[in-house]
Amino acid sequence: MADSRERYLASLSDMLAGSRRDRRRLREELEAHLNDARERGLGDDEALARIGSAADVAAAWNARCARRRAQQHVRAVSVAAVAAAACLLGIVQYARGAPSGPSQPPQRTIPHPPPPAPQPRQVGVLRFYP
Amino acid sequence: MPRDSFSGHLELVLLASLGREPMHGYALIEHMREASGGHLDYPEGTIYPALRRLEDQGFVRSRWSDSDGRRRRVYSLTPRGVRSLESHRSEWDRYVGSVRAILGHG
Repeated sequence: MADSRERYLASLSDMLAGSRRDRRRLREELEAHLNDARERGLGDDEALARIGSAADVAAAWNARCARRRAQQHVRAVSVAAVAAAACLLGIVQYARGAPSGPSQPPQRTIPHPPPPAPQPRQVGVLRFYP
Repeated sequence: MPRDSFSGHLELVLLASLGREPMHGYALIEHMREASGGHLDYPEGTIYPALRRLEDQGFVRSRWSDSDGRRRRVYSLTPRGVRSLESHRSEWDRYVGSVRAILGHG
């Protein structure tokens, strides 16, 4: 009797997709389910028949895994698209010369004194005396 | 009653059952069978993937529970699951009312 149960669970495990942790959890739940059935007087073969074929259970499980993967994929693509848009916006702002961060206060400029007016050039006069 | 007639409503039935009280998988299946007078008799192994789908969607949470030396995974509704159940129940009532009205006139 225990053999059919072990064979079923092993066969099911081989067909399951998903993480090892998730698969172990399903297996443990089915074991608990079979223990409950046994406690109510059902034989393992009858309890396994009520559970359904390993292929049917695996198909339902794998559909759930595929759906979950698809949802995670959509989420990852959305995050990547938002990040790419943010990068693109940053590049465009950089190219336009507009800083994307908080604007800096204008620097205070001290006016330089006006340059001195050019002095008339003193032209030396050579005087010759006899 | 053919099982396929109810196959699309498994998640609603699970939510409604868990709305009564938290349950582990075997208890859930027994409850559905007894409450429906034996009409809802799903392949028991497909209940667990359906429960995981509901958990993925945030309608249900679960935890391992040890009682009487037995370890079982117990499922309960989340607040989101309660809201979803209320919404689905209203939709179901409208649907049944519509079909009944049509059948009554057929």
